[in-house]
Amino acid sequence: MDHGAAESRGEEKFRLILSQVSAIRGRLNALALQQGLFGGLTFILGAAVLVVGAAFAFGPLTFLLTAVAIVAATLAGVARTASGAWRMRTSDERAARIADERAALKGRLTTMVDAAQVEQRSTLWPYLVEDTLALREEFVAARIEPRQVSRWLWAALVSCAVAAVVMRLAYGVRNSRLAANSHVVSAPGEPTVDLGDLDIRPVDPSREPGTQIDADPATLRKLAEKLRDARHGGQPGSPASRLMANARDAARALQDKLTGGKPAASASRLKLTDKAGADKDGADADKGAARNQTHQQDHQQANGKDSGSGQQSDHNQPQPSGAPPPAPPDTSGLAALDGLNSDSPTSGGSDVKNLRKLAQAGPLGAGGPEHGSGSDPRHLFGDAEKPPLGNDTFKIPVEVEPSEDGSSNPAPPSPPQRIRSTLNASQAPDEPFERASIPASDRVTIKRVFER
Amino acid sequence: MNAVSAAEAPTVADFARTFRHVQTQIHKVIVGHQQAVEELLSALFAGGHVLIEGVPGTGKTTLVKTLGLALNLSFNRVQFTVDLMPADITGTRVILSSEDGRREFSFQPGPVFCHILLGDEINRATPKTQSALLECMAELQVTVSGITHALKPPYFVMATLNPIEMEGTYPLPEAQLDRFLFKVRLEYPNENEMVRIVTNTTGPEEAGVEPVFPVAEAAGRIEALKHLVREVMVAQPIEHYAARMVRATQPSSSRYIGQQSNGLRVDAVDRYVSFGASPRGAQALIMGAKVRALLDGRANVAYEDIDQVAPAALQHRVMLNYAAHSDGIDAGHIIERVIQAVRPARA
Repeated sequence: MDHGAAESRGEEKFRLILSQVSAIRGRLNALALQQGLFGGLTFILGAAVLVVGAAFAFGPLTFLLTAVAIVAATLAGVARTASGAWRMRTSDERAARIADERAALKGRLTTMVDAAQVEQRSTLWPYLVEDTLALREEFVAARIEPRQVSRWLWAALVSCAVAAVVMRLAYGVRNSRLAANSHVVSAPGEPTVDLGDLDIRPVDPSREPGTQIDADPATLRKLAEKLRDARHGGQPGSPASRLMANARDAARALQDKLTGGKPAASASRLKLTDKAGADKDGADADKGAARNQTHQQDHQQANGKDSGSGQQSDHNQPQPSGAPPPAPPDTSGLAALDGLNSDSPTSGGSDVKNLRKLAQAGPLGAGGPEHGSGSDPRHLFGDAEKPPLGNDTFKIPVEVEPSEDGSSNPAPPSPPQRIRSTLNASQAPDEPFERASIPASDRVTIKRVFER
Repeated sequence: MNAVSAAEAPTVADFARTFRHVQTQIHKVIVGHQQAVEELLSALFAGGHVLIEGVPGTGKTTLVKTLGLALNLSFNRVQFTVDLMPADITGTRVILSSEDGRREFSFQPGPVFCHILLGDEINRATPKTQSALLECMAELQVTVSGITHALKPPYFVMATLNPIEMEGTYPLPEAQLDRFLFKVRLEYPNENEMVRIVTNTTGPEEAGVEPVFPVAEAAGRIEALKHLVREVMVAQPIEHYAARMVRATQPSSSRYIGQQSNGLRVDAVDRYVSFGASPRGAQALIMGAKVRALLDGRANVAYEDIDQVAPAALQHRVMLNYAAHSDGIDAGHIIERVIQAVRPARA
């Protein structure tokens, strides 16, 4: 009877010890779970911040590579954190071992948990239970593992805060860019080509509307090829380059989603505007009469109309009359364009023809038979046509032509800036001299000097 | 006769108290050598035998003799020489004449029939004589002329080795070395210890040792304590730790063992060890650790206990190669490296 009661008391004490071990296990497992969750969250948020930053900082291909690297690193980090958390998960045996080590219990708990599965226990078992129970204050869960919250929580909170700030900034920039770019709408069916690697410069930056583009024959050839590629869906011939173009498009699309697209200034497009004139090859020689005149922005073309309608809209644009006669065509770039025409008579024909016509039109300032529609005398009359509401997009009619000097002698972007410096005491500021009245006796002399 | 009733069964506290008492009595005579004495008693209560190594004059024989006196057990000493024969230690059949004039063979027990046997300078005897001790040590019995004679427990063999004067000696074979639970080194005493030795041994009175047990109870009490040692619990992870440590003493290139499943490689072992410890090494680790646990007031073995007994339990089981001798590496150094390599595997 007494032996049985003592045995049941012993079992009760044993269960008490086991419950403390289970509490330690629960706490350790909770920490492992937190490490897995918060660690993964930290990596994901950090990666998101980096990807958004890369979207703003880099071009499409660099962004694509950076984003792939970040995603790979994030996956590796998440996997590592998850596997670390998985390894941290604890059984009763392991919890007992950890408690033994941290509380210097010299294997008491390990032995108890191990002996719990043994039916035939040692005669020293009651001694072990009493001995271990006497030390139970040493192995309460809070002493073995004081932390209830994983350190990864702080990392996750910091990354959340950083992500919130970055996302807010990015959202603001994106919205402002979207607003700025809302008037730039790509017209369906219009080829848009990347001119990034072409060395093209405006001849005179001060001539804003209808800027003429000056480029060497090689650039013109590239431009013609790009136009032809763009007509074929923007995909160059080789599979590798097609793949690259697809990757770039995808990266750009993602980047635009994140950033709202590039600012409008850098998204300007070049478009040949005298497509219709090219079709009516040699129809109207007067079109080149106003070669040197400023070309007007064609709102109608930017609105997605085809070149014919664009042409119609041009009829309403007032153009100055009395343009100088067309200069002899500069044929320095013509051979390249001719070569292009002969190479692909069907694919890029119209664009190349346009370029060719422009090239035939001669150097800057020279008129030509196929000059831009803005020079058509027929457009000089009639009422001005209002641009449609809700569409602020515009296109710069660009004329390209071969040039002797090519791109080796770029035009200055703007007049030199005036620099003012402080004057010393002996200096006086520049002030215009007042026009003095010329004495009558000197007038004859002065007149003679200037006549000489 | 030697059985102890349940009511008299010693407790953990009794064990530690008795152990310390015997230790105190021994140190009345033996100056210094605290660790050696503790290892010696540990081996006694673990049911093993001890190989004592020390230069001449360090108290090897005195230590064993004092132990016998303190435990109040029968004690015999055999000086092993090159002409010692097996029958000289195990006993032999001799012709005795009875009262009625008849002559008959009778077995005359040798010096092995006792509780504590000191084999002094065991490496001076031939391997044949050395191996005569094997049966006594392992099975507590002696077989002479086909008749097996049991030895009375507790049976404790202490053999001494002189590490110098190796000429004319016969190094113990591995099988016999393996039967010793511990190998205890008696270090050369320092100046203070030497002064105390001189003072104690050159005066008119010799230090007396009081027996810890009465003669009638000594064997039974010691057997009960030995039984208590076996009751100490060992968790499986700690058993694995001991097994891993013993396996780590085997070089990975050894052709006598299978694939090292734990993948534990110790560079020093691979380089300097020709053959490592046997499974008896693991038994020695656990038994020695159990004694240490009881001395610490625990009913369970800890990793620390294994680490503490490892040098004494394993160093004589590790066979070093020529490279170790040429580099001046001893077995203790190898065991130290093994412990360092195995320790991280605790968790």
